Amino acid sequence: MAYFLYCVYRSRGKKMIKLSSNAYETKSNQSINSTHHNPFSVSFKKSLSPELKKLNSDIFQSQTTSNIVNNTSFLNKISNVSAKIKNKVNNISFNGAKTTMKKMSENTRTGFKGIISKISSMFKSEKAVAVNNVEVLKNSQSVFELKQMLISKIA
Amino acid sequence: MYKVEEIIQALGEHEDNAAVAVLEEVGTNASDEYIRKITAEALVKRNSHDSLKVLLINSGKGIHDLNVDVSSHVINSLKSSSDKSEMIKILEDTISLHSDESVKNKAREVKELLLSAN
Repeated sequence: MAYFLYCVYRSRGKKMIKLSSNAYETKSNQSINSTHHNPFSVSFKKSLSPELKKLNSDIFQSQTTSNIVNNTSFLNKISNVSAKIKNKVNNISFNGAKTTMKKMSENTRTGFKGIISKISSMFKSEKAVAVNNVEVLKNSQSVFELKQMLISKIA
Repeated sequence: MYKVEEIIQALGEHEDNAAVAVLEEVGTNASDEYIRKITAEALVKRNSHDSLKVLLINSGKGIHDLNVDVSSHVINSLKSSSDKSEMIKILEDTISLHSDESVKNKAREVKELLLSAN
């Protein structure tokens, strides 16, 4: 069952994306007619749970949005999870549940696209900050001071 | 807290020419190939005789970096530069005067690439 939400929060200057399972599950409960039993909610959630945990963990470790946007394997993972959800939808036999799941799967894909687009725009604003920082550094720091900073960074 | 990319870029654009020596000493000698790549980008962007020399005539640095990934990256940076006059001049001097045959051969190869990219 597709149940991804995302929120963006800043923590000590680091931007992180947090994925959590939430609203779609609530939405699905509202959308599914009470006479339709969705047989996939528990088992599907269980099967997808390790991948979701790994995605969450990868995001938290990414430190900056540039690591996320430039990380092809990470983006592939998101795409793979989305494809699995889509695949699951296609195998559902209950028509009512299938329609609902299809809608939710599309929302999930849209949701993922939204995540990537959000990350991209954050990356662009990070770039603007970086340009400003270079100006500040070159105008206020001596070569010796920059050398010390560089050494401490790459040591 | 400044990022390493910002510090290297600031050195590349610093008005004090001593910055080139710092980039050569610290940046091009870094064990991390990513640092060597972005140092090269900063030196190419500076596009002065001193900054280009670092990348073009030193065995083991810049276009002569032992890591193919790094040397290709440097060559691509040189190719994408809009003003290639100084780098071609240095390469020609290297071809005629350098004592190391492998450095001369590489310089010859890169000069051809830059001329065809124009």
